[in-house]
This record gives sequence, C-alpha cells and structure tokens, in this order.
Amino acid sequence: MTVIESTGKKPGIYERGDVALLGGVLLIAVAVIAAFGQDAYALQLASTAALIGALVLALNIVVGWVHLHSFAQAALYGIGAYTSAILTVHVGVPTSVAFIAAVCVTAAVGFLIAAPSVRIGGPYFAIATIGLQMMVISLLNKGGEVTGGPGGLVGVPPLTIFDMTIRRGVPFFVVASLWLLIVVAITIHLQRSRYGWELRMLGRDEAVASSIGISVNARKIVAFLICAGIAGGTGSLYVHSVGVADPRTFGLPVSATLLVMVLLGGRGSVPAVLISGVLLSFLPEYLRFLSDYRLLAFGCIMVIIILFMPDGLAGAKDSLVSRLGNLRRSKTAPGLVVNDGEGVESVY
Amino acid sequence: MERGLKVSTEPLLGLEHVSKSFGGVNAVRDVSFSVKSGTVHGLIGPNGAGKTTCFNIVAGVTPADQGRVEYNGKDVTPWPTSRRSSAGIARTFQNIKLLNDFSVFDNLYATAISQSGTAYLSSFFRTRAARRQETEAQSATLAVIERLGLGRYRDALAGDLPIGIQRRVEIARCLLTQPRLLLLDEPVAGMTSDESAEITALIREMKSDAVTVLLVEHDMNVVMEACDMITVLDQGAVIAEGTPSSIRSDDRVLTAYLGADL
Repeated sequence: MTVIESTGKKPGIYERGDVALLGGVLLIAVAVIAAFGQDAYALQLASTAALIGALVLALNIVVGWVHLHSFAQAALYGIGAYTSAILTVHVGVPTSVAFIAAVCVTAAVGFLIAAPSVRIGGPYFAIATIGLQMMVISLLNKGGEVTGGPGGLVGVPPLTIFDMTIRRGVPFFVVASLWLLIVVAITIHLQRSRYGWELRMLGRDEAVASSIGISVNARKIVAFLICAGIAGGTGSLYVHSVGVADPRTFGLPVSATLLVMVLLGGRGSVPAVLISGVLLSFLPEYLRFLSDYRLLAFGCIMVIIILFMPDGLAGAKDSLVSRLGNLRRSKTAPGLVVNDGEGVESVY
Repeated sequence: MERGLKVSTEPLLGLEHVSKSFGGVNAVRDVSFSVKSGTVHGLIGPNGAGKTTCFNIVAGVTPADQGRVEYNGKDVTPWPTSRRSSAGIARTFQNIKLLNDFSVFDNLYATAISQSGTAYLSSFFRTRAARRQETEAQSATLAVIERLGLGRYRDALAGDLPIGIQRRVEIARCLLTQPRLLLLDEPVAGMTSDESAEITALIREMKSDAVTVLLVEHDMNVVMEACDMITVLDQGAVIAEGTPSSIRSDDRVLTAYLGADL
C-alpha cells in the first residue's frame, strides 16, 4: 500500500490504482458498445465476460485472499439464477425483487455451507464445496415442475428496472457492465478495509491472525457469504438475460473453470484476476475452429499456464517488473539490502 | 541496568498444577509457577523438558489436560488464542511467522488496522472516521518501525530479510497489539551472536514499557542476561526457580543439564 506520510496527502476514498481499474472497466464497456453496438453475438460474448468477471472477483475473496479453494461458485451462481427464475415464473414477483431475493438466498446458502466447513479447512473445505456443487445440480435436475428438471426452466422474463425492459444486446450489456463495476468497487473497498487486511492476513497464516486477536472462522464464514451473495446476484442477471435456467450452465466444470481463472490471475490481485477471467471467458470462442477438441485444447492451455506460471498473471508481472527494476538499479540506486539466501546480508 | 528495581509482587500470569500428555508421554506434569508483573521471566530446561508445551498452553494453542491458567486475576484456561490476544497476551513463533510476500510495512499495517477498532461497515464505506483511523494505524505502524529500527527495511518483502530483522518485525507486530504479557518462544534460535545480543537488549527494553515477558529459550547467555526470574523444567516438572545467579549455582539444574554423573 502507499504510505501517506511520504506524500503528505490525506487519504482519499480511492487510490490511483483503484481509479485506473474502475475507469478502465468503464472505458472498455463504452468502447465495446461503440465498436460492437450492432453485433448481437459480440454483445452476448461481452455480457458473458462481464458476468464472469463478477463471478471470479467474488471467488477471489475466498480463494485469493482467504486461500480456501471453493469448487461451488457455479452452484452458487445457479442458486441465484434459479431463485430468480422460480420467483418470477412460478410466483410472479417483479424481477427487481427477485434479484434482491437471489442475492439474499444465495448468501444464506453460502453461510449454511461455510459455517460447519471452514473449521475443518484446507482440502476438506474444497470437498465440502464439491459436495454442495453436486447436491445443487442433482436438486435442479430432480426438481420436477419447480426447477423444470434437466430441460431447465423456460419463460423467464427479462429484467425490468423502473418500467424499462432490459433486453439482450446493448441494454443488457450496460446492466452487466454496471454490475461488474459495482463488484469491482465492492472488492476494492473490501481490500482497503480492515476486514480485507484481516482476510489476507489469515489466508496467509491463520496462527498469526489468531495471535493478534482475529477470530479466524468468523471472518472466513463472512467472506464466503459475501462471495455467495455476489454469485447469486450475477446468476439472477444472467437468467433474466437468456430467459432460461438450464442446470448444465451451473455444473462442476464451470466451477472448476472459474477456480482456474482465479488461480491464473494469481495472488489475490484484483486487476490480475479480473483480466484473467475476462480473457479466458473468450478463449473457448477463439478455439471454436477446433470444434470437438476445443475443450481439450482449453484444458491443455490451463495445465501449461499453471505449470509455467505458478503465481499467475500477477506473478508474471511482478517478475517482469523486478527484472526491469534490477536492470535500472544496477546502474544507480545504492542502499538495496539483499539476502543471499544463506542468511548473509549484503548492502549494495 | 539495575535489575529487579521495578519488580512488583503481583503475579500477572499463573500456572496452577498444569498437566499435559501426548499419547503416553507426559510432556508437562503438575507444573505451577507464576510470572510477576513487570519482570522478564525465563522458562528453561533441556530438550524435551516441556518448555514449548507450557508456552503453547499459555498462548492457548494447546489445551491443558489438567490445571488452570490465570492471567491478570482471571481464569483464562478455556479462552481461545484470539481472546487471549485481545486481553493483552502477545506471542512470537519459534519458526518466525510473517506474511512473507508482504512488505514490512504491510505486515505491520495489517496488524495495526486490525487493532484499530474501526467498525467494519464504516471501514468498508471508507467514512471520514474510518479514514482517520487508517491514518492513525499508519502512524502507529511507522512509529513501531522507527522504534525497532526497521526504517530501512520498511518496503522490503518480509520473506527476503535476515532472521534477526524478521524477529524484530515479529516483535513489532506484538507491540502493535499493546500487550501486557509478551510470550517469546526461542527468540534467538538460529541467530548470530550479534543478532542475539540485539534481541536480548530489545527484551530488556520491554521492561521499561511495563511489558511483562515470558521467555522460553535454549541460549543460556541470553537467559542469564535478560531474565529477572527463571523457572527450570526437566522431564515435564519444575525442578528449580529463582534469580539467574541462584539458578547458575543450583545443583539440580546442573545435573539436569549436564547429566547425573557430575
């Protein structure tokens, strides 16, 4: 973080990097509308990318900061989608109310799953989330008329905000981009807040966190609840844009892909995870020429990236920056302290 | 420095008949001792004497099988680590634990902001009060960096530093929690003699801040130099207690350390 004392300025709400990130997302959204305003297919891809961006940023809170690996993000996304779909199709509530209900219901499910499973931690948490994932999919498939079964729930009405009906194309892309902006803002605020520091601390070392008085399990549960709430809201937006809730959209492969996107971003860095999620959301489209083999190619690319970029995009950027920095430093800058790895300290 | 000058008689920490066994091994057997407020209290003994087990029982990491731990007049036996920390018990780790990919500043700021008492919602929305508390946490961080002489390492990654400096960062983290009792688990393990002398001096300085120290240590020089009182453990039981000079000449201690044949 930036140290205020050195600049003498009062802390503002956002730091320069935050403004750049929020502004960048806004600019790209405007550019997409300007360039592809008439192209329904491109807008659909871009809207999906925005929703995936929101999903990975939410997952990043749990995976990148708390270091708990969740394989249930697609299930949470699905719970949000189905909550919204069922409420609008069967009960007939307005879509805006259904959206809020989707956020709350999904957050509640997240809480119920996290409360018993964060204690056991590590791989067991991952297994618990796989369990949730399987359970949700089988409930959706066997839900009869309520969920529409394997064929899905059709006839979900489009989103209506202030009597405006948000249809696919530019209107929905605007809504999806605004949602992404909100989620980016939420994660930035979290990251700067006391809670964000505590999460990143306990994710790195629980013993340290509890040694300074942090109740580790309570913090983890809330983190998962926030992640679930955002996933639920995203699911609701999605289902109202496509008009159908299909269980296959929310399966384990989707969860695994979202998790990989976060890991590829690396180190919990918000911009890196966002870039990784948005770029990878297009990858299957670029691989379309491989037809049946495209998922195979997608998998291979992921394995290669994980093997060769263990710290993800953030790590690749850091090592590039430090290499450039070393070049520069070797010419100037005295006073760099280096530990040569054997406990011997040299001052250059 | 005048030793034992400001030693009060009131115990801050007391262990009463504490026992702990792991499987069939009685790591700690009926151990009782108390640490007086404002002192540096050493807990020593040969390998396997039960020092670290006692330490973990006080820190709240390992529950005792029997007995009580009293702190500041309260029975804290059932308290979890986090609650003990909030009550003023801070600790370092035998294998130094820092957030290695964070800078020294961020390591300490994370603690300072967590201790700031800022309400979570106002911190999330970055209200004016929350930003003022952030500035205060930054000042507290810079102050502790200054005090422990970490200024030149402020922006270095904690994981890249030599262990003498890492230990200072760990102690700085403890000080940010404004402890009344500081638990140090072999603070000079693996250090050069210069580094360990610096840490020893630092431990002595704690006294002037009314921080009571419980020091578990192997290094006899450090123990003799730093401590006001020493409790000696052997095979899980207390075998001697007293000032450094009395411990130095205690036959039971010599026997425990050097073997029965002497």
